[in-house]
Amino acid sequence: MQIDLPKLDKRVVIKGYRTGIGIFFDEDGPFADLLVDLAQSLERSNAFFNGAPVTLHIGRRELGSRDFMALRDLLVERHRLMIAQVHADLPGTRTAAERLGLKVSGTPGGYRAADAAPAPGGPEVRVVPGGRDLARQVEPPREPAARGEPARSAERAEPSGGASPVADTLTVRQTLRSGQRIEFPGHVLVLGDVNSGAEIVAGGDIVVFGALRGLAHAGASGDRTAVIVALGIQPPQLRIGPVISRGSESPARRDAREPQTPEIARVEGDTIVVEAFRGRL
Amino acid sequence: MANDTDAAVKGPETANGNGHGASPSRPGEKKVFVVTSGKGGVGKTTTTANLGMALAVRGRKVCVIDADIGLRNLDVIMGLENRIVFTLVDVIQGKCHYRKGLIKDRRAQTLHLLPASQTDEKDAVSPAQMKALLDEMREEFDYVLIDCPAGIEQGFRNSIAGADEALVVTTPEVAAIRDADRVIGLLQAEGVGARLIINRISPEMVRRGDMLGQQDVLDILAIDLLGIVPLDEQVIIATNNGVPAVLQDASRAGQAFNRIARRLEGEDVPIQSLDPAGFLARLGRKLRLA
Repeated sequence: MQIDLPKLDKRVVIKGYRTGIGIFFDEDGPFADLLVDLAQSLERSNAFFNGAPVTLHIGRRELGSRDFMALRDLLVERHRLMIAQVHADLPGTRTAAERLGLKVSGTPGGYRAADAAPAPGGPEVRVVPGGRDLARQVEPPREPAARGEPARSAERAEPSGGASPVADTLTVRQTLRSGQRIEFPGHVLVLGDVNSGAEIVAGGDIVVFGALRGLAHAGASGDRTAVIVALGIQPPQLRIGPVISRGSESPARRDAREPQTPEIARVEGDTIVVEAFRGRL
Repeated sequence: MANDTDAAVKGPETANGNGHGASPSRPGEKKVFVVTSGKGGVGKTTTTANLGMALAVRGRKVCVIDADIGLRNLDVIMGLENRIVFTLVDVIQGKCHYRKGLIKDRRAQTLHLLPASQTDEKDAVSPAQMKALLDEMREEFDYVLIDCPAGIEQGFRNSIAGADEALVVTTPEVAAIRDADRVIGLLQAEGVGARLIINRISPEMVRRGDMLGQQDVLDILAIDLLGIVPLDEQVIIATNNGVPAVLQDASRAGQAFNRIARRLEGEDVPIQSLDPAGFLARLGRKLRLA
C-alpha cells in the first residue's frame, strides 16, 4: 500500500504502483525546471513505464493550458503514457486541465468518492479504461470489485427504477475536436458535437447534444446496460461495455448535413443497435 | 519544453508588442498571422506565398516567415531560393539582425521572405524566441505571415507562439478536416483565434457528390470562413515556376487568394459559395433550424 505522500526532496517524484504511476510535482520553483527533470527521469526509465496510466499530483501550483499541453506532449506523445487523472488544488489549474479534456479530481460535479476513500490495500491510482488499454478492456473485467466499488456491477445489471447508480455526470460545454479526449467514471453529457478523432470514455451513459462522429465508449467498466444517445450517431465505431460495433465503412460518404434526429445506441444480445430515440428507453 | 512555460513571464513583452506595435496605417489591427493545417500537403505554403504577394501588391509591407525548419519550401514557391544567405535560425541565434536575413522580392518591393534553415531541426528555435522576434518585427511590418510546418509538435508551437490569429487551411477531404479540427482545438486551448480557408475545392466534384462541399466542412469545423480557393492547375504551374498565382490574372485560385487578402484587410468581400443547389440546400437548413 503506497498511499503516503512521498517525500519531496526531489522536485519531481515518480512513484510506481501496481496499476499505474503517480507523478508528484514540487510546489515551488519554475515549472520549466520540473519539466526538464521529469523528461530526464522518463528518458532514463522509458521502457519501464511504457503504456502506464498516470496520475498527476499538481498540488497548489498554478498551471495553465500550455503547461498541461507540455505535460501531455511529454507523457502521451513522447512516452506513450496515458494521463488518467489530475489532482490539483487551485481552480485555475483545474480549469486549464479540463480544457484539455483531462480528468480532474475534486471539481464541481467531479468524482469525489474514490478520492476521499481509496480502497483498503488498493492502489492510489484509479484507472479509467480507455486509450491504448481498451483492447484489454473489451473482455468483461475479471475482478469487478477490485476498485472498491463492489456494488456497482451488480446494481447496474438490473436497471430497475430507471435511476442510475453511477453517481456523477460530467457536462462538457463545448464541441470536442479531434484529439480531445474525455474520460470519466460517471455519465458524460456533451453540449456540442463530438468530431471525428475525438474520444469519450464513460463509466456510465454518454449523451451528446450534437452529432457524434468520434469514438464513444459507454459503460467502459463493463456495463452492458449503458446507452449512447446523440443527435445523429455516425461514428466509425461504437463501444458499450465489452461490445464493439463498427459503423459505416466509408466515412467520406456521410453527409454532415443529415437531419439531426435523436438516436440511441444500446446492446441487444451481442451487438449494438442504433435506432431513433423516441423519448423512452 | 522550457519555453512553453514562458507564458508566465509574457506580461511585459505583450505590453510592448501590442502597445506600440500598431502601424500607423492599420492601428490596432491584427498583423501576425500563422498559416497552419495540421496535415501536410493541403496548401499552407502556397497560401502563405499568395497572400503575402497579394498584400504586398496592395502596397502593404509584408514579411513571410518560413517556420518549417529543416524542410523549407516557401523560398522555392516564391522563386527566391538562390538568394538565401541567412536564415530564421541565424536570426534567432543572434548571428545577425533579422533585416539581414530578409530577402526582398523583386516583383513586389514591399514583400520580404525570412527563409528557414534547411540544416537545423525544429528545436533550434523556441516559442519564446519566436515571440520575441515577432514582437520586434511587428513594429516594422503591416503583415507578418508565418508558414507553419505540418504536425502539432515543436514547429507548430513555435509558429503559433507570437501570432495574433491563425488561418487554418484545409482541403475538402476527411483526413484534412480531422487534422484541421485537431489544430483548431489546440489553438483554442492557447487562446489563438482562427479563421478557415478551404483550399482546392472542385465545384464539379461537389456537384457530382464526390467531394464534400463548403457547407459540409463548415458544419464540422464550425469556425468563421475566410475564403474558398478552387482547384486550379495554374497553381501547380505557378508553384513550379516560383511565381505566385496571384500574379496571374487568368488563375481562378489567384483571384480567390486576392479576395482573401482583401478580407484580411477588413474589406467586406462576399464569399461566393461553390456549393450546388444553394437555394434548396439553404432552405432545407433553415427549416431544420426552425
